[in-house]
Amino acid sequence: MFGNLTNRFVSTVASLTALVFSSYTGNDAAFSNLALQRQGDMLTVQCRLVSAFDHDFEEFFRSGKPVNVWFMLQVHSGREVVLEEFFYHRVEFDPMSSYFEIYLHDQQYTVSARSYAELIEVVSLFDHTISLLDIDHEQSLIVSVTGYLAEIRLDTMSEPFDLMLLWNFKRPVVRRSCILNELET
Amino acid sequence: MNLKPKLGLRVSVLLLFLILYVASIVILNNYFVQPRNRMVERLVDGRFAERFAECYRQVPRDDEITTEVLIEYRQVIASIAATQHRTNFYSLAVVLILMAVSSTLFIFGFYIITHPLKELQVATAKIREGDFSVYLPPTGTSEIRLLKQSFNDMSRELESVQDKLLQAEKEMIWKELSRILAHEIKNPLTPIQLSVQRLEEKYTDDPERFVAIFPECAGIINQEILNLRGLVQSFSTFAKISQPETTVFDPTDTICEILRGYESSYSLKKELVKGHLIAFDKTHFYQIFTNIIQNAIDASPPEGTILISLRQSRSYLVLDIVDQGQGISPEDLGRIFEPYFTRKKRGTGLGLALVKRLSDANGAIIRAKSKPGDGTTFELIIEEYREHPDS
Repeated sequence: MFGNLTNRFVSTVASLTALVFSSYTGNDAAFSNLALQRQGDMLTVQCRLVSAFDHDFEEFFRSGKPVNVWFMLQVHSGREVVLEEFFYHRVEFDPMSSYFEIYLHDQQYTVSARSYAELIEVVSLFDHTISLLDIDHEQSLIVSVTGYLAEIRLDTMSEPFDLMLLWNFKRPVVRRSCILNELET
Repeated sequence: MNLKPKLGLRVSVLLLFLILYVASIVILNNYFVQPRNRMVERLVDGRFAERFAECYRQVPRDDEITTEVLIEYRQVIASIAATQHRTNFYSLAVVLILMAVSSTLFIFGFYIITHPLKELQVATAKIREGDFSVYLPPTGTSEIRLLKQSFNDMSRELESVQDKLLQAEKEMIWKELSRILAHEIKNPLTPIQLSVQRLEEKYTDDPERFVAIFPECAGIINQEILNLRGLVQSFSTFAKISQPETTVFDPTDTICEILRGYESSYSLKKELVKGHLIAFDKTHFYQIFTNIIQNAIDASPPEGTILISLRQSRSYLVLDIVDQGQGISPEDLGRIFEPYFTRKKRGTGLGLALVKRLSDANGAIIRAKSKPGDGTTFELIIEEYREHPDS
């Protein structure tokens, strides 16, 4: 609880700072609408990060060090968490070829991007299918996806850099409530 | 109506403080932080990196040193960007927090200074209203404590002086009252005593003469007893002025009724407007008018004419009673409404004091204008009664 309050305080200060002082902008990261599609006992969860990498990220993606963009997928039934999984999109730049290599953990494959715009397009999309075998299809559920960033360690810096600073320490979240049997198949 | 909002001292100073604070930060930001950011942006400019990469492509692939330099260059660029973002964010966040903390401290400090001043202002207002029992607890900074202590000393002294003044005034009133009462009672006692002595003498020495003078002496005694009763009655009336029981009437009618008893004996001239109403206690009006008219009769020479006029002046009715007497000296004019003040040989000094108190009780104004040798004018100003349109 204390950690949550601290985060709220820091993010409020960050927002105010960005509002008052023009020398700092940051990114107001958010998710687009959460799409849910059921196929039998499988549920596909799809959403996209928007306004997340528009400012200040390019240098870090081009540093050659792997940058992980994390996604936390949760399914709640009331207050109980019935499913929780973590995924990452790993971006690694090859300075020799000038290509970005993106490993999409949720989709289990790697893709290359030639430009920064392509990179953002690929890295922002979360798309994962989960099994519903252990979940009651009649109960009301809340599906949520939370995005966050990890620290990056650069050889030229003595301390790791917390990339969440570029999101003003705010984790974007998207939620949708549903009853599995009522979802379109 | 003044719609312009008035800012208090505290709000004004706080606003000024915040404006200066933000202005100084904005200036710092514009003149120092932003130029530095622009310089860093030029350094990490993508075009520069691309040209650097192009150079790399033109060198043989097995040149490990070039590869290392390129990777290191990319990381340096990222490090510079990270440092820039970190310093921007944290320095400005710290400034913002400092701003909040210093503003809070400022408000707290300002409250410590201005709150006692507010207390003093309230206490001073109480003293102005006559409440000298105000006490300010000696709290706050040492200077404020001293100030409060001085204020408490002052209020105690004022209270003490006020008590002494009240006591002296009471004593003076009682002395004056005793003197007047003694004087007024002594006057009728002398003829009573003389009459009784005369009757005693005649009763023992000359019984026939006793029978002859008895009615005369009894008449004197009765008359003086009546005078004494009248004296007591006037003191009693002055002491017991009742609350006004307001009725609405035309003062001209009442004045004419009162004057009917005087017109056969005195020369009176009337100039009265009709059709105007006043809201007044009718008994009080009678007492006021008869007192003034009696004073005017007493002051006037036998052939003198007394003018009674009633006129309208804006929303007021003005009743003037003008005599042709000797007038009142300026020194006495200022005291004529004081209780027990009189220049008459046989007066209590309560008549005009009663007039003043009754006028005040009914919301009217009584004043006198006079010049020695030029008569006196008593002016009674009463607000005209106007019926409310809705009623």
